[in-house]
Formats: sequence, structure tokens, C-alpha cells
Amino acid sequence: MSLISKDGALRVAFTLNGRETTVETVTSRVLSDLLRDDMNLKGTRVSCGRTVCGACSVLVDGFPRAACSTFAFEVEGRDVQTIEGVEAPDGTLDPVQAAFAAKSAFQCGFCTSGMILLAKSLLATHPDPDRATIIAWISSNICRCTGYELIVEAVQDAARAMREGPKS
Amino acid sequence: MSDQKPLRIVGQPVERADAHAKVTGRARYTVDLAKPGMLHAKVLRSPHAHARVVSVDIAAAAAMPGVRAVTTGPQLAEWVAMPVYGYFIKDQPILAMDRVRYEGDMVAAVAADTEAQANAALALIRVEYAALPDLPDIDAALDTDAPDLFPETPRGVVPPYGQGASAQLWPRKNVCYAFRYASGNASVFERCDHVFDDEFRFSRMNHLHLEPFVCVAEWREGDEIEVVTSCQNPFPLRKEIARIFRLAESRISVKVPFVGGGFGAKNNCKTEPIALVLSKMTGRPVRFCMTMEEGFLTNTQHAAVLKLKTGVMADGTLVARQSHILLDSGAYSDASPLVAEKAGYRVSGPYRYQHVESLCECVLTTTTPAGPYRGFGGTQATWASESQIDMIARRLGLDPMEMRLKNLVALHEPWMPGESGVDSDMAEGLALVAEEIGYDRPRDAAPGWSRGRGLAIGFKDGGGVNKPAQARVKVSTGGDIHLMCGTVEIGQGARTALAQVVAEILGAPLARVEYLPLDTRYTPFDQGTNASSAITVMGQAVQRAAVSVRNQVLQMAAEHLGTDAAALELEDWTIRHGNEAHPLAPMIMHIYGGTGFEFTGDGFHKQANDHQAPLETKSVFWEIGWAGVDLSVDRETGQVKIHALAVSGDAGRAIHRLVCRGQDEGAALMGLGQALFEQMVYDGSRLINGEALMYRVPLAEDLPDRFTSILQEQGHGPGPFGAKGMGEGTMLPVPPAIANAIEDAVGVRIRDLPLTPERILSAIVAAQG
Amino acid sequence: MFHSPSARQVARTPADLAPMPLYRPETISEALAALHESGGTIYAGGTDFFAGVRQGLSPKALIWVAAIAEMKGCTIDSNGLHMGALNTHDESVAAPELDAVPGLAEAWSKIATVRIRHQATLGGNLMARRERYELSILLTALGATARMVGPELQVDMPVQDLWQADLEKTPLLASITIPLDNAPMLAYERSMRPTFTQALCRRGQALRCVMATEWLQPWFKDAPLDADAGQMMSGLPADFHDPAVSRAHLVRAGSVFLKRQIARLEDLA
Repeated sequence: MSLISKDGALRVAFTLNGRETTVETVTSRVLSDLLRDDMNLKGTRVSCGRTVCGACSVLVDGFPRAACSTFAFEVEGRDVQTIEGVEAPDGTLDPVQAAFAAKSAFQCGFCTSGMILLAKSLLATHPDPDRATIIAWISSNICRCTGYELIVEAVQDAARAMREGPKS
Repeated sequence: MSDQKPLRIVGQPVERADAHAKVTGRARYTVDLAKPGMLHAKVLRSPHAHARVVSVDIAAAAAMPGVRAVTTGPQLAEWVAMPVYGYFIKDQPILAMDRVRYEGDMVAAVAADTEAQANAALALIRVEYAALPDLPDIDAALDTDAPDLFPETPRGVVPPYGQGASAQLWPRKNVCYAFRYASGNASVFERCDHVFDDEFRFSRMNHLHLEPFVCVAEWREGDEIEVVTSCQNPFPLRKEIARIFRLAESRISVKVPFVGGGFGAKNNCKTEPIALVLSKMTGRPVRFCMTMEEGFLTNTQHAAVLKLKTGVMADGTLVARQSHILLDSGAYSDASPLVAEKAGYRVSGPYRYQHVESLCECVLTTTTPAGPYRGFGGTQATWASESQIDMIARRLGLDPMEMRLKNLVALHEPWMPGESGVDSDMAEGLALVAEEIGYDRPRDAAPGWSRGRGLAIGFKDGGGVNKPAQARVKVSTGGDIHLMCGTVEIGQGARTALAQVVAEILGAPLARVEYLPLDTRYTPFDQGTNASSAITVMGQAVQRAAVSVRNQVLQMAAEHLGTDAAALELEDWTIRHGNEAHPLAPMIMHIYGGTGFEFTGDGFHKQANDHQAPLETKSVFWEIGWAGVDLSVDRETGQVKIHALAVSGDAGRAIHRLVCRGQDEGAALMGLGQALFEQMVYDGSRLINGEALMYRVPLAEDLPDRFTSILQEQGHGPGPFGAKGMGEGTMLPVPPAIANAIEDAVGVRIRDLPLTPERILSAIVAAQG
Repeated sequence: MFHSPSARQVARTPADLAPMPLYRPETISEALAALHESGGTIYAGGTDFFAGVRQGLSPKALIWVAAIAEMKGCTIDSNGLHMGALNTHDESVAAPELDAVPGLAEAWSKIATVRIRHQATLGGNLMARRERYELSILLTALGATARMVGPELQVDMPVQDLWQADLEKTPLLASITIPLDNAPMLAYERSMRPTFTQALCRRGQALRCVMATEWLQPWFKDAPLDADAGQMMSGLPADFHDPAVSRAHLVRAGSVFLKRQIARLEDLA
């Protein structure tokens, strides 16, 4: 029998920012609402509501995905990372965050959570991406403010910092 | 003043003040706010472009679970004093009264415990409409047989204008405002060697700010209200709210946290009146958050038709220009009169003429209301003007760059009689972008393609008209600095730049400056975050406030130390007196007592009123954007390949170089989108690409092969340390520079935006006969 | 033709959905049983489903088909290249079987974005039946068929028929099949987006060209290998135009690209 929930109630167990998490929710709940409204993780921004702009991108098993267009039940057993889980527990910024901050690779900041997660996913699989690869990845999300050039440069800076390791 | 000393913070590569909050996701926007007991508002929108509202039945909706209030336009009388709003003309109803004027016009509003309940209730509202003929565009609206969109003329005002400028409300049917400007004598046309008439059309974009239109409004016991909103001009909004509800402004608190983009859209009433009505009805906080699709139905750029008649001597000397601009204002006036004023005023561009005369009319159509949009009339004007300059140069057999150089208004020369002097050397900027794109290099192209290069200069008066700005700087005993001003952090970096100014003047580390949350009850007055005005207008107010505090501190220390204030310096909240260092905290407590003190400095800036100036004040500064484009055109398909786009702005002095760069590059890419593909597509009066998938905005993959922004610091700005405003200038010249390069490549002139392959190919085919 | 959001529905969000029964079938027959039992809606990658929700879709139940192994993967047999409807764009492009159709992997790798390619499925792209989605264009050119299954019925239909077909009795797209006879190869031109795209398949001595725009369902034309590009394009129906592009331009520019694509495939052959 393939029925998982008859009345729409269900429990979802997943890893959220490195912690085992179980939530009681409903089948109609989308991940962005679960994160923002039920768990108060407001760093995931919602804009277009139809997967296009990518402002709500979170990493699911390390890959960016629009949380506005993902049901909560889909992350059962999976690893979810939001912007809140990017910095180290002691508050040290991730190299991608540090590069975005240093490069002013943001303006209004509304796309920034998604862009940083996108860049993290890119650099996890491409430690030394060329410009074309960075542009291909960054083209997944919309930034209406920067003209993208500073974002591309921040990703390049982050890649260099990650390859060279922490500064002594 | 410490201007002579080397700068420690201004112009240095400091981290933006909002960097940590934004890269960690901790930044909070209005959309993130929730209050206990909060209700959610949703509105019913008209599916008709133009119709009489015969009846609205809300009974079934009101009976739905979770629904706390339902209202319609005619029922508003119980809750508001004035059911309409608008900038110059009060024509936009909070909810439709007896007529809807565009598809998406708001008809009824619901507040419910959840958004889902509100939407479910909307579905049960029954509206009977009687369709009326729609007016999808300027031509339709001006047709003699067109119905009158406002049979009863809404009230409005014309602001005072100075030398040569005037305006009229409702000059003819479906035209809500006409602005005129004239200088010099039209008779000079008679001695021109050539007079050229050309017509251009400008497309229409959506702002696509990523944070939606959203507010949380709370009408509290005792008629005290708080509105937290994603808004660019909280003080004018407060004034409008006070008028709508006939309430003292002192009872209204408008608060603005971080704003997730606006580009002009978030000026004046959007979500706020409806949320307030529903809160007043229910006694509970009400959140009204629109979707992006609703954003498309709320505010847009102005499409335009621009007719230019330009008289010129055979050697390329410009003599006279007459312009007639028609703006598609959509269904309500919104900011159209202001945009008309700017488009009409700016249309002669950065050149010297003996005579200019322009008329700009706001034409109402049954489409989404058009309002402020980055560039504010300057985009439309520059498109036509910079296209025609190139066309004239080519007709006269002159190099377009040479012709521009011949006619540019010089540095410090008043742009028009009564105006301030232009504060950039425009030839210098033009040379920079020309060099960057290899303007004079051979035009090599792939087989079947033709190479071309084009230039353009975007030119606008900057800093706004009638913009008073006030700021307050407070420093407590320990040296903690509070900066209070009404500039909204919308992404432009205002918090950082203004804090840098304060830190520089007070000799303090940047981290000591806290930019306090904006609340109209406590924050000093500001006209709004627009017109690239923050650093030049508010910047001067902030500068004065900081200088005031510094002077007070130095004066206190001088008296305490028995010396002259001029002998003292303030550094890191320590008084330096020769080789002595006197920490301030103990000194302050010694003087004022153990609980300490707080130094408060106020600053104010407003450009002086001046009836000799056409817009009643001289322009605060001049915002110039230069663009150069190197491209190839496929002669068989009309496809355009941009090899290089170079833009440049003059920051006067860059307070923060990366922030300036981001503004210039973001503006340029918006211009690139407008030039090549981005547009709202209408089928009659119906917008057919009003959502993110079908509405294409520039992505990183749309970047040209080479995209360069050159930040100039010519040093002539009136702002702190010589700064000028940034952020709009480089959007203006991009579309005409591309059109100019296309003509350079394939010899055809495209007069309509966007510059689609179809338009280019059709012109090539037509030219081949 | 225009899927613009209705002014009455622009305020909808997924929060409007009521909690509903959720099925997670592991076989096609379980999925069909769940569909029959619940009258629900099939849910796979999610990209297009939510666009539907935003514009009024309100499912009675969700049939989440992600776990149906038989709807994934690629195989080749004597009937052609079979691809499961649940393959994401990334998975499809990475499948070595795709090399059986030169040009297909390259074309497929260009559609959508890095993020979407990881999430969106072949089935979702086709079943959305939105004009600007590109798999319909590529697969129509390749003469692919869609295997539609229902409780009592199974139909293989040309993918271009999906636009108009009544799928009441066969609601589930299980897989598609690209016939491999006569060594098909594909060229795809999408540099003119958002104006138009053009796919061309050469199969033995035959050509099939597909033209599509943001708002028009793909139009295709079969012709012999030596056909004249201009003549092929002049077959575009009189009403093949939209508010962003005229028919005359599509014929004119389409002919040029077609000529180029024919040459490209000639080189490939």
C-alpha cells in the first residue's frame, strides 16, 4: 500500500544544518514555509514562488533546490542546509560568505542566501571553476541589483581561499 | 574640518555595514515580520481592463471560517476620511469605488487568520461588472472616440515651477498632466542648416524587486498606528496615511527595516492603506504581502512615444530642439506627473542649445499604473535623445563622438539658464568608455556578421527637487555613535556610506557607528530614498550633524583643558592635545556627572529655493552615465552579439568604491536587459508575461564577453568629501549606445525598444530594398 | 496560448493547499491504483507542479512518484532509446545511451539552469504542456513517442500529440521512446530565445524541423534531405505568430538557421 498519509498529517525526519530533526507537519506544507514560519529560519527568502528566481535556494544533499517548490515530505531522510547552517558553530564565516562580504557581492541582500548556497554547491564539486562555469551556475538565480560581476568575482575569491586553506 | 587630512575611512575598502547580516541570512526585512494575533490580507482583483462595478456581494465571503473582515470601495467611507491617494493627483482609490480601470485593479479586501482562508473567501465574492471599452495604449487613449477614464476629474496640484517651466492638470481627455519647458527663441530654427524630425518608442519594464510589496499594519487602541513596510519614502507615506485617515502625523509610526530592492516601485501607498483599514476594522495587526505576480499588477515603468525635432548647423553645432513626449501612465497618475517633469526637462541631454522646448504628457491607459523607475524619465529621454544625436551625426557625415564633443556643456557651465553648473567633465568620461571599447579600432567581424561601436551619454539632474533632509548624530559618554536619518537601506549601501562619513568626521572606527532603525516618530525628516540623493543630500545633512557633535565635544574639552578648540583633535573618543591624550569618558563624567551625557548634533540640507531655476531649485548635482558598446550583428538573422560593454559613472569622490561599482554595474545590466529583451508583453490590455518564468530579466549568462565599469572620481561633487550620487546614471546610456552601435555595424536605425533581432532584420531587409 | 496568471488567482501561494492524502507508490501499478482511489495529482520534481498551484491547481491528493524505479533510467533495445519519465535533465544528459543520438545530449544540456536541471524531470517538462518548455521541441524533432499508462489502457503516442490528447484514461507518462532507425542526429538552435528556438533532426534521407516560440506550441515539418530551407519554413501556418514575434520574421530568420543547421548535421554525418 502506497498511502503514506491519509489525513494529510505526517512526520518528517531529516538532517537540518547538521542536526537530526523531526517535525510534525502536513503533506501540503512546502519546505520554505516549514523553515520560515514553523522553524523561524527566516534566512531562506521567498520571491517568485515558482522555482525561477532561486532566492529560496537551500541545499538538499548538497545541491541547490528551490524551497518554495519542494514539499516538506520530500526531504525525509535527506540532508538540508540553509544559510543559517553555513557559518561555523563558533560564528566564523564560511569562505564563500567571507568573500561575498569582502567583495560587496550583494546589495539589497534578498538573493544573497540563495547565491551563497549556490556557490557553495558549485565549489564543493568544482574547486577551481573557470569563469564560464561560475556564470553557468550563478545563472540559476536572479540578482536584480549587482549586475552579477561582483558575485562572479566573489566566487573566484572564495575558490582561491578554499584551495589555499585558512590564512596563517 | 578634517578634509585636508588623509582619509581613514572614506574611500577605504571597509566591509559594508550590512555585510554580516546579509551573508549570514540574519538581515530582517518586512516580509520576515510576524506579530502575535496577526491577520492576513488578500485582495480581489478585476479580471476586466475597464468596467463599471455594478454590484459586489461579500456575504458568503464574510461567513467563511477565519474571516475577520471584508470590505469594498463603497464601504470604506466608514473607515477612512479620503478613499483616494496619489502623488500630485488624488485619483487612485484604495479599493475600486464604481469602476475598475485595469486588469488587476483592487476591488475587495479580506482579512483572515491565514492567507489560505483569505484567499478562499475571495473566491466567494461575487462581482457584477459591466464591461467598458478598454484603452490598451497611448494611441487608443488619445483617440477622439475613446471613453473618458475619469468622467469626474480628480483633484490635484501643480507645484510651483521656475524660469521656463510650467504644467497643467487634465489638459485634454485621458491626459492627467502636461509639463512644459522652454528656453530661448524658436526663431533660431530658421537659420539652422538642417532640421530633423524623428520619433522613438520606449518599452516598459517591471521593477522585479525580489522582496515583494509587503507591510504589517497595526491600528492600536486610541487611534495610534504603526506600519512596518517595505518602502522607499516613509515620510511622504506617513503624510498620505494621515490624510487618508485624517489622523495627526504624530500618531503614526512608519518603520522601515531592510528593503529587498525597489528600483523606484516602493514609493508611496502600495499595501499600506488596505492593511490599515483591515486593522482598524478588526483591532488586530494585519499583514498584507503581495505575490510577485501581484507586483506586476501594481507598478511599472512608463512606455513612451518621443518625437524630437532638432535643428543643427552643417558642422554639427546643435541649435534647437523641440520635443513632444507621451508617457503611458497606466490607469492612475501615481508618480507620472513627476516622471513627466523629468522626462520633459531632461530630453535635450548634455548638450548646449540656443532653444529648447518640450512638452511631456501623461496619458492614462487601462494598464498597470506606471510610476517611478530607476532613471525616472531620464531613461526615456536618453533613449530618444542619444539615438537622434547619432543619427544626425551620420546624416551630416560626422563622427558621432566628435559631434558629441563639439556640443557638450562644459564643466561648471550652467546646463540651462538658471541652473547649476554641470559638475563632471563629460568629455573626459566619453573618452574613457571610447578607449575601453576600442572605438577607433578596425571593425573586424566573423563572416556574415558586421561589427559596430556606439557611444551614448546618460544625463539627468540628480538629487531631486524640493528634497529637505535632516539627520541627527548622538554620541554617548563612552563614544557610542548613533546615526539617525531617514535614508532607507535598499541595497545601495547608504548605511555604510553615511556611517563612513560620520566615522571619518568623528575620528572613530566605523564599527562604533550604529545606523538606528528608521521610525518616522523618532527619525529626523527626509523626503525619500530616491533620485540618487542619499549621499549628496542626506550626506550633507549627516556631515553637518557629525561636525556639530565634533565641535561640541572639542569645545567642551577646550574649556575643560583651558585651551582653544582649534588646538585639539578628536580621535577614537580621545582628545589629542599635542602629545597629550585625554580619554573623553572620564572627562565627560567629570563635567556632567557619573551618569554621563549624550552629545547631539543635528544636520539639515536643502538646495535653496530659486525661482530663476526651472524646477524652483537648482539641480543638486548632475548624474552622468557614459556607455560604449562593441558588437557584431548577424546580417542574415538580425542577431546581436555584444563583445564589450563599458560603462562609467562619476562618483565625484567614492565613499566606498565597491558599492559604487555595484551600483554602476547593476544599473548597466538593467539597461542591457531593456535594450535587448526585457519587456512587459501585452495582448491588448492584458499583461501576458506577468510572472517570473515568462518575464525574462538579465541573468549572469547575459553578461557581455567583456563588461567593464570605470569608476571616475572627478572631485566636483557637492556631497561630503566631494561625493556625488550614483546608481541610475549608467542605466540610461546603454540602450542608445547599443542602437548606435547597431547602426554603425549594419547601417540601420532601430527606433523602438527592445532592439529585437526581428526589428533589426526587418530594417536590414528594408534597406536592401 | 497565454498562461498569464488570471487576475483572480495571482494571490495564490502553496499555503492555500489543504493537507491532503499522500501516496508514495513504488510501482506504476501502485501509482495507478492510488490515482484511481484518490483522484489525485501526480507529483515528481515539483518545478512545474507549483507553477500550476500558483495558477489554481488544487489537488485532491498527491501521488508522489519519485520512488518508482521502473520510471527511471535509460535503455536501448530494438525499438529504440527508452528514457524513464522520472529522469532529471542531469540524469538524462549523463546517460551514455544518449550517445545513440548524436547532438541530443548537447542540446539537452543547454535547457533550463544548473539548479533546475538537477530537479526537473523529463515527465514534468512534457506533461506541463507549456509552450516554452523545450523537451517537447527536441523530442518532437526526434519522432519520440510517449508511453501513457492507465489502469486499463496503455498508449504510445507521438509526443506532439500530448498537447491535445485526452489523458483521462491514461494519465501517467511512464517513459518516452526515441526510434533509432536510420541513425537520427539532432541539431538545436536556442540562441534566439526568447524569440524562437529551432530543432532539426536528420534521419537517413529525411529531415524534421521544429519551430517554437515562448507562446506557440511547437510546429514541425517533415521533408526530404535535399529540401530547401526557405520552402520548409514557408509552411509555417498563417497564425504562427505571437505578441513578441511575427510570422514573417520566423520564416525569414528560421530559414537562415535551418540552412545552417542542415549544414551542421551534414558535417556531423
